[in-house]
Amino acid sequence: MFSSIITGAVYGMESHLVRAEVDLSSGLPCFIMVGSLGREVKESGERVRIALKNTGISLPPMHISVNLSPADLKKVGTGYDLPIAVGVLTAMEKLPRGCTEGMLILGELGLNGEIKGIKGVLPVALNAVRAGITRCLVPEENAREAAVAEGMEAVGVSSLSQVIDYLRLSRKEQNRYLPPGKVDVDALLREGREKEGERRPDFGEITGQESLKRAALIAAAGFHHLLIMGPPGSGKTMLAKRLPTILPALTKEESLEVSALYSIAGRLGAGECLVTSRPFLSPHHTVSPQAFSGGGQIPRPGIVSLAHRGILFLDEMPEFKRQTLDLLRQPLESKEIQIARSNGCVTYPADVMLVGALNPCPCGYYPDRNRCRCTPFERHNYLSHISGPILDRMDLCIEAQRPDLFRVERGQGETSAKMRRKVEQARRKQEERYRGTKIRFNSDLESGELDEYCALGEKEREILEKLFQKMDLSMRACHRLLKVARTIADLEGSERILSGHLAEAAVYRMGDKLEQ
Amino acid sequence: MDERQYRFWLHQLPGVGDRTADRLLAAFGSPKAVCLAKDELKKVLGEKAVERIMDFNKNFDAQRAYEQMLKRKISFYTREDEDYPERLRKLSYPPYGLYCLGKLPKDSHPAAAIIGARECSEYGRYVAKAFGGELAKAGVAVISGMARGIDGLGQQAALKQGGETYAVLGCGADICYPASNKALYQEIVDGGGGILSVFPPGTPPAKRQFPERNRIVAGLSDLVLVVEARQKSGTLITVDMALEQGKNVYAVPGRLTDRLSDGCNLLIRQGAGIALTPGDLLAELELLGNRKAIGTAKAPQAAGSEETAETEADLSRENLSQRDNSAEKKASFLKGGMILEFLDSYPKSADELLAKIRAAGISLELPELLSGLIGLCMEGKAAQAGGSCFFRCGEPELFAERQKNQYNDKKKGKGEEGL
Repeated sequence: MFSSIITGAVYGMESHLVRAEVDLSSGLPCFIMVGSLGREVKESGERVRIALKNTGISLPPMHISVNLSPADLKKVGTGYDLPIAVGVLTAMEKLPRGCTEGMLILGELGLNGEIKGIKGVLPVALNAVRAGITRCLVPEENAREAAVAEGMEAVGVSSLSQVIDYLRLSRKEQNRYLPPGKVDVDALLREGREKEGERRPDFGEITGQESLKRAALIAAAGFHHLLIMGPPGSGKTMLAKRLPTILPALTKEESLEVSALYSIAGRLGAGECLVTSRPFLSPHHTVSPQAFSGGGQIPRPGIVSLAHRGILFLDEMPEFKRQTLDLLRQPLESKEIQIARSNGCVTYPADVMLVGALNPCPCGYYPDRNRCRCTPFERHNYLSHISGPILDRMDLCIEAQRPDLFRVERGQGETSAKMRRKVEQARRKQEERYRGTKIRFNSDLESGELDEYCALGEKEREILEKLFQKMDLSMRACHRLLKVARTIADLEGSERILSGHLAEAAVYRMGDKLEQ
Repeated sequence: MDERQYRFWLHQLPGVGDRTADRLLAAFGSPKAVCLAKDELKKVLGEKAVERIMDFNKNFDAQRAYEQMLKRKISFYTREDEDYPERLRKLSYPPYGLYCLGKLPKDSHPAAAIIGARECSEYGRYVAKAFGGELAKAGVAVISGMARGIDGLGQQAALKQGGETYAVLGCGADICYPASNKALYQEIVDGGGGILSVFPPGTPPAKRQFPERNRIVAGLSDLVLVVEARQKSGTLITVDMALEQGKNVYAVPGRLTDRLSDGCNLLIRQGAGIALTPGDLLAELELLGNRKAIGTAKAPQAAGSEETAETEADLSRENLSQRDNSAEKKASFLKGGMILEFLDSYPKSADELLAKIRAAGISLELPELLSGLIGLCMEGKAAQAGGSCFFRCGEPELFAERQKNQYNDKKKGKGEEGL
């Protein structure tokens, strides 16, 4: 009178396989659950009992024990209802023994026996495939999500009675009764890429702001952090909003990674099974530090992690609390964020492209002396809301100008599609160069790797030295300049970094002067 | 205590300014007599004032304070001294005492004040440096208040050219205010001139002390040059004082649309001299017999900047039209450093420059322009303001440029005849 069902648990970014063990023995009738359970998991017994009753099965007057093993792993979430119910049924011998062998079961039960969707299906499914499990029973709305895991036959179910019918059938009949859903990940990605092309707004709507667009192009091609400074109405936000339209497409691995993260956060929309475009998050400056970094008793991913592999756009950067902004210091360096709470320590990925927009002074119009009368002290005070280490990590800094109404060229500027082709080309160059390493973009280069990938000729070295002295660059700023120059060279299709590339990269080092 | 120390004592007294000191000296004859007088003081000053002085005396050792001051290399001059600047003596109310760290300006040498806004534009910076440098080269002492912006920049440029400059402070001469000009302060002390103040050492800067400082700045100079000033500004207070003292005032003209040039343009309307070249000022200072034959017809890219920019573009179009191959044209454009021709002392954005260069018929790409600009920055011929704006710099070139422009003026004149 014992049964064991495979189910899964997610903790942070890690998922584990969990066994729901059920035993019926004689004794005082009761329903006992053990195994380091969260509040919602403890309530599960009640849901299971009533759902079974409303499906027409009453529990025998026996001592029912449920153990979720490994017993030391904290269990949270509502996905354990269905495996426990199936476990009880198997132990009661209402279901044939062995019918759930090698099958992953997840799902929440309603009191009437319906099965509701849950969070975090994708990471569990991915982990199960790695452990050699090829079939799963999941709520219908999560079926496509589970099917994204390659090699997983995901069956979507909508009620407990359907599950019982299904499990009573032979394997062959099962497939006829509820055929496993299939998802072609590559096709989905391709589709997403095509849809991206139609995405509004378009860079073509910006005319005459060529230097801004150039900086955006470089930033997108090398995944560099970008700081845009300028008076109100100079197109900072407009530019940032269009950045996602020229970013290189997500690769399959990246897409799965982001989708898993979104699945854990419960951010995948209904019916959506895969994130196909790079995330773009633009939190308001009143965002709390916890929401920003992620947190909670059981740590959940925050804004920084949700922007993983995408853009984190901070509009009006000095308006953010300094404490909030400083949270970015570690993730910007290590590309992940570690959240330690009393219930444990969790690491979420946070590889973001940070795009910041800010006014140059409190009134916003500096250096236009006709409108701005801010003193250097006021300006310094305003900009000092952004700490030096954050500024230091911005690869490109660009100043936006208010366009002159009469001087703006009419007609179409360079469109997103055209810019995107250039970005993809530079991306391919980078892929070739970094094949077999962990590096994806030029911005990922560590200072030790610069010698290898950003080697300079004799003449270029001289120029860099001159720039270094003349612009009074720090060593770190110099490294950033090199990385940006590498991206510019990639955009131009050049194998070597030439002096022109270095010189152009130097234009974007204005941020170093901000600190003073 | 010797006579000098008595004078020093008199200048330290609380509630005794220049006018009170005059009254006391008129009544008693000398500072020593004032010091030794007891009850007689009450006849000249009120009861309370005398009490304050008595209180002050209890805790004040004039001899020690004086020696301490000398140790800090600050000297003290009064009207009784021969060294007291002749120019100040001519004022309607010469300050009784003057503290000096470093040298006093020589009476025999010409002196000009360069003053202007603290929050100046790149144009103002450029012009202040150019004038400061050129005046210093001609042996003119540059007088100013060592403030942030125009004042300090003019003085810095003077030092750079090996000239002399004198800073008049609104605080004690031992205090560097603003602290951001520490390097300049030190350089002046180290032999480039002197730090002057009418306030005893240790006096912290206070708002009410600055008009007096401005009066001394005007008083020490033969003429006053205003580089950039708003319509309502402290600079114009200095100008008023200079006019009261009968000094000539020159102003650097600016664009009508620049609020920072309003003060200057207004001064010009009121009859101030127009400073187009340092030669104008030098002529005024009678260093040169007559005005140097330097181009003067054209105001420096003033109100009609659009127009001049266009003619520049026209010119380069003419220069380049003979060459047919556009790639060759571009190459020669980049090689010849002709980007400089499109730059201005007002910062222009890269986009604006690109539009102008393209309008001139050269199909330049943005990356090429940017790297060309950085090249110019490296050579020191241009500089980057903020993120994507560039302007022309390289100090003394402004006036050399003017001569070259005469050629342009002639060309332009031809065009006007046609109309």
